Amino acid sequence: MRGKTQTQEILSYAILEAQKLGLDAEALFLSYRESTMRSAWGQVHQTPTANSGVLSINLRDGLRAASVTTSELSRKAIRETVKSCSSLLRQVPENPYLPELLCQPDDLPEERLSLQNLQEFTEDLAVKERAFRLIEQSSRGTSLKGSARFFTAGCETGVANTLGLARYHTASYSFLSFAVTGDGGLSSYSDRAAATPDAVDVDGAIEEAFRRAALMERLPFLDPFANGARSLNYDAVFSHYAVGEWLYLVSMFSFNGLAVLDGQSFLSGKRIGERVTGQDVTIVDDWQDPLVIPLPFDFEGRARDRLTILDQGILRSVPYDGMTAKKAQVNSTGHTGCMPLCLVMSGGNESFDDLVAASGEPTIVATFLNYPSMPDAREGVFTATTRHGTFLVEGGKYRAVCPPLRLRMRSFDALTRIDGMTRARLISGQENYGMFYPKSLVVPAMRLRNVEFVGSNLSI
Amino acid sequence: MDRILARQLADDALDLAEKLGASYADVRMYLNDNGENISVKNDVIESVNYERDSGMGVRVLKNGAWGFSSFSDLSINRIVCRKRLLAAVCEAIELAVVSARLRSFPIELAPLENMPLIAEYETPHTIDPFDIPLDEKVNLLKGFCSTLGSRNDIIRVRSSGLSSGRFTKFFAAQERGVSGRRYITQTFRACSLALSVLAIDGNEMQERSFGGGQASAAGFEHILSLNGRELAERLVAEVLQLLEAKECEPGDTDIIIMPEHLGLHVHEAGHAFEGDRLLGYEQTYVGGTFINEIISQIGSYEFGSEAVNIIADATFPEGFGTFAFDDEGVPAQRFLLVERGVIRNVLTSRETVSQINHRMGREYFRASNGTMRAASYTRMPLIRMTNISLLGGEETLSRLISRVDRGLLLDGTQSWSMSEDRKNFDFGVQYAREIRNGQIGRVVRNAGYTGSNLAFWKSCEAVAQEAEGYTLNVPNCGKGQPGQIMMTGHRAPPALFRNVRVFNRKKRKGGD
Repeated sequence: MRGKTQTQEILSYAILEAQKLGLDAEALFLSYRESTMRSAWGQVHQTPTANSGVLSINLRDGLRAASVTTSELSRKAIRETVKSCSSLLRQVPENPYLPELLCQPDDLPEERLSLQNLQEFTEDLAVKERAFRLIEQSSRGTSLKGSARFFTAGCETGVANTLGLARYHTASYSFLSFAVTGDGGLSSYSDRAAATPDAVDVDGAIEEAFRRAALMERLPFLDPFANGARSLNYDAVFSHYAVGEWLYLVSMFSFNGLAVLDGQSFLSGKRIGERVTGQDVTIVDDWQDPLVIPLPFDFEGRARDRLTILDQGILRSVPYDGMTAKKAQVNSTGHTGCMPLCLVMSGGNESFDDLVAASGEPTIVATFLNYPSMPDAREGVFTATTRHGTFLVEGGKYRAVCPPLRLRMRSFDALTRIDGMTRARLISGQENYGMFYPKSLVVPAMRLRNVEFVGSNLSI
Repeated sequence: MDRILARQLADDALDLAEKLGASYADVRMYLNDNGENISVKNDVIESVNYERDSGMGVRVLKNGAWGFSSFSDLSINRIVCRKRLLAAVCEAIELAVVSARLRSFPIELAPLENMPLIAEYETPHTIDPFDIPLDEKVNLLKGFCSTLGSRNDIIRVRSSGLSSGRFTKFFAAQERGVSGRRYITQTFRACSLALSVLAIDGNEMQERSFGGGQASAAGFEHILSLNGRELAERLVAEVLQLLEAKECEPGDTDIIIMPEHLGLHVHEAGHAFEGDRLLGYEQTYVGGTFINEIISQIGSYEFGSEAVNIIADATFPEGFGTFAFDDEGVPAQRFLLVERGVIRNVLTSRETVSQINHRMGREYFRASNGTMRAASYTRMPLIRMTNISLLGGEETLSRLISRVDRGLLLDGTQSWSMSEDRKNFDFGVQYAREIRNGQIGRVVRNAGYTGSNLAFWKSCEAVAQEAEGYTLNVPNCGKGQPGQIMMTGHRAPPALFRNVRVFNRKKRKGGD
């Protein structure tokens, strides 16, 4: 983490070097500090920390563009980076879809950029130690083992260009995920997210995971596929985690403006204003929602629109970045990669227990969906196996604990069969595979009618 | 940063770690990590991006627990760099001390065997990809992209891309009770050509591509050795066939899986053999392994048929999982995970050996088999697959086909999913052909296959010979928290599996 002044100095220097060469330029600086504590079956085994920053310089000459990304930020290194980028630029053909550089628009007042300034958390190691002690104490005297990951990070984003645009934003994020495992494949899960580590509801996470584990220990085991069935349809209750895993994939493959344009999305060929799901479904990308980690602008510096994707089941818009918008002959919505990163689905007013209790028909309760995949993105076909607690409910009562089950469903058909939702809450973003950049998923738990399950995990 | 300075800084860090009571410490520096990505879509050069990265990470073992700290940017002056490095050592020590308070037993490192003190390695290559002028690469890609466009009325998206990478990693370590420090410098190279085509006719959309690209741990000579035009022509021909093809009929049938996809199935099943998954290290993320249920039977458990031999080979030429030393300084090794269907081994690291033995109830593993790798200087090393490959058998593809009365030949990865314990799988493929009475028949679209790995590998009747194999190099295997992307390699020949459940991945009904 460099702070606003140093970030702006880095960006300004890169822009200045480009101007010396008579070129237009856009510069992006992303930097983060992150720290993780991770345990396996009660033993802390990893505590990695990282402090890193990356500068991306995009040089322009008319419709030609080349980019160089570097973590080397001395003035000499930046100067050489700009120089090598200009060498590349000379060899790059024109790209008719290159978006224009943005002028500084008056669309983001300072108070919005400061919506979530980075919150310092110097005591995060002490907070984590307390959390892991609590977790260890909770398993004591039981046959259960707790494994946890406590992640804290702060990040900053700065964008500048030769037209004078200059933007800066910081965000912080803390996240605890907790798995409880036991004999016979028992596995339970919970997670909690907050802006700072001390705001993470550690007690709530522990209570939730152990409560579900206790339920699993108490119930008889039943494999619905033990009799050789090839396919079974049940109503299903998906927890927040399961809904998050599902909708993240749907947003990546189906709500993605580039996929829509290329014909790869279920929404390709659909008209704005056309009904694509049931009327219970309202999904927006809203960086100002109080539950998300705010991301006010994209990597081009464009203010991120509050984007209504589905309004009561009606398709309203999809996210675009500059290049894809130009191809589609629409305006950019301020979404780099055409992905909604602050996805919020409106929920209902029922509790999770209400959703379970409303199960007149045999119902599968799925806590988590593992390794989700889209066998066919155009048709929105989704598959995953359940994990961390799969239950059979009959007459509104938990009857049995099941092995992990594989489900396969058409996502948009399933979204016409929602039969109750809880309030939405922030669950984990997707895993951070390098440069930390927060992604928010605010989703409800939900009850769905008629979900197809196609197999179970056999016992050895 | 030059290597002399790198070693001086590493020595300073190791001195401090030793002084602060670390029983083991290593420093990993990425001295000049370079990448280049060029992508062409529908004849337009959409992006040309060059990446440059440097940084270092310090790992210490103190009081029987790990601490790790890292930072980027080695372009800063020596004094500042040294200051940051020593601060990282102190932070790693502090983290280890806290971690130790949260463990009930100390981490023990398995002994090192035959360890050199100084070593160097470089990926064999003849042409450094960064020596090739950009316009030459751009012209090559534009040519391939153009070949993909023979039917512009139907072919909606044509893309070609080239990725090249080169980085030098310097590793230094010291250990209480081991004389001398170890210094290892390794320079890696890789190149990959990606081609894909998407066709739409009415409501029917079909894709053909090479999963992960045609990739090799080699120089640009790999790209020049490919007949890109022929590969592109094949993709176009197949995607057009798919638009007119019959739907895959769900049911149980015999399947022959072609190597470009089978490598991915081997990859996904290979995760089950990662030793850290036997110890709960991935419970909060990617999960465990079915081997936990039979851990005492490692060495005798029948996982597959006699035709199934799966090897872990970190020395395999041109594999993405090839190196000379892992990120603990353990030499690259070659050993069987599955021998004639029986599980013989799992992938281990120095810290997991004693813990796995303890769980097995016997001293089965003696030393690390060298599979610890980190995705970058910002990450701690984890057990990662190296080159995990299905060994060739005696058959030929044509003889495999002749054995099948009624079945499918499956090729090209579309989708993949596996349960956390690596039992249940679900793969979608891009291209399939009927097999009837030992002959290849009509093209079939939208096929997928699903089942349990425990039954699937036992149903493997025969594997074609090594010469008909293909090395799938995976550039983006994900694991760990924080997440790590790793390069792995997987060679596989075609193989025949009996009575496997196939499905229509668009959930359409089968038939003509």
